[in-house]
Amino acid sequence: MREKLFFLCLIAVLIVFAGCAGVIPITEEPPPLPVQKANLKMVLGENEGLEIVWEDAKDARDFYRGGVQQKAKAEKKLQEKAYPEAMKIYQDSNDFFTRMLQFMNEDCASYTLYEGTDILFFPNLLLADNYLKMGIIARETGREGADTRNWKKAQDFVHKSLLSERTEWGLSFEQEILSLSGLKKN
Amino acid sequence: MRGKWKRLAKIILASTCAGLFWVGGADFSSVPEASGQGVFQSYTKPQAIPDFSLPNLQGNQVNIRDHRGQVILLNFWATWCPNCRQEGSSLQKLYNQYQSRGVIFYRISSKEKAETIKNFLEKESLNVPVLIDKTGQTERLFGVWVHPTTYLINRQALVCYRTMGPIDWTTLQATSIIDQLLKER
Repeated sequence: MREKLFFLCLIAVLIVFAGCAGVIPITEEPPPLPVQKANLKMVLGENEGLEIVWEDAKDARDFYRGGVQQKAKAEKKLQEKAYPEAMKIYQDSNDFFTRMLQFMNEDCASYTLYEGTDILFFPNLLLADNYLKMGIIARETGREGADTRNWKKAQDFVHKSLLSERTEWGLSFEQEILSLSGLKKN
Repeated sequence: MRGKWKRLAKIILASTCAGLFWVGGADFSSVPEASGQGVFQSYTKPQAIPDFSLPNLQGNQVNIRDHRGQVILLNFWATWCPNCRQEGSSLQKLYNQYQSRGVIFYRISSKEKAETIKNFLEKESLNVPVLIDKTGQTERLFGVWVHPTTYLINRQALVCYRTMGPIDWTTLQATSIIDQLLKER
């Protein structure tokens, strides 16, 4: 009888240990999406063409597209160092994206529009990039305090983006914001 | 008493489902204005039509610039799209009615083989000219995200109207819009 009980206990212990070993999750984080698969150039390219103006934006796709198109314009102005114009257009871009986020607030590397057609959908990350650059402009134009305020917003949006889609693109922004602003990681 | 509990359970279940739908159901189509399927949207600030050049079913290249000064109807569709099949016959009627009056019609199909499209058109007895957007680049230029989507372009090469979803092209609304575009110089 004791022998039987001993074996039963032994089997039970073995099952428990084996079970535990079996359910220990491997918590290795998957690698982020490479920058070759999601980057600003690709997003801008996907949204070229028929221009969306605020007055005629009616659906979510219009607001996203409008935001990206305004961003493309702002990037050009920034390169030309036309800071006040760039700042205004970044804000226009942000208005489009902010409206967009009222309906869909998660970034996605492959959002399916319809059969066979996916788009890079990164409203949070693009907002982060806009605020990052608005911060740089604020610093360049000597607007004390505005730079940090913009970088804080940029950091929040990068954080949201990385929570929904971990990309090398987003991680590089995070690093850039931290090095520029001296803020602590979210 | 039991009925009361059942009703309460039903209410809780319905609220939970509604909550889940509200939280998880967000997509492009959830934007209120996007539900305007099959409705003409007129642009308050019409923008220039993007340039593109695509082959037709006979393999000849068609450049949209060659149609400057004409009223153009561009219909983005696909053979696999039920809504496109739904509006196909009324679009054909519109084509029969307006092609002789100088309106340019193109149905643009993306990422489909010419053979598939030809077979479909033959089966459905449709002959509205089709262009093949092999890579989907032209759809991207227009920002198309639902099939069918149709754009109406005026003589100044400005995109004046858009419809998303199936349209009955034989209605007075559709024909009066095209008549109005034809009148403009």
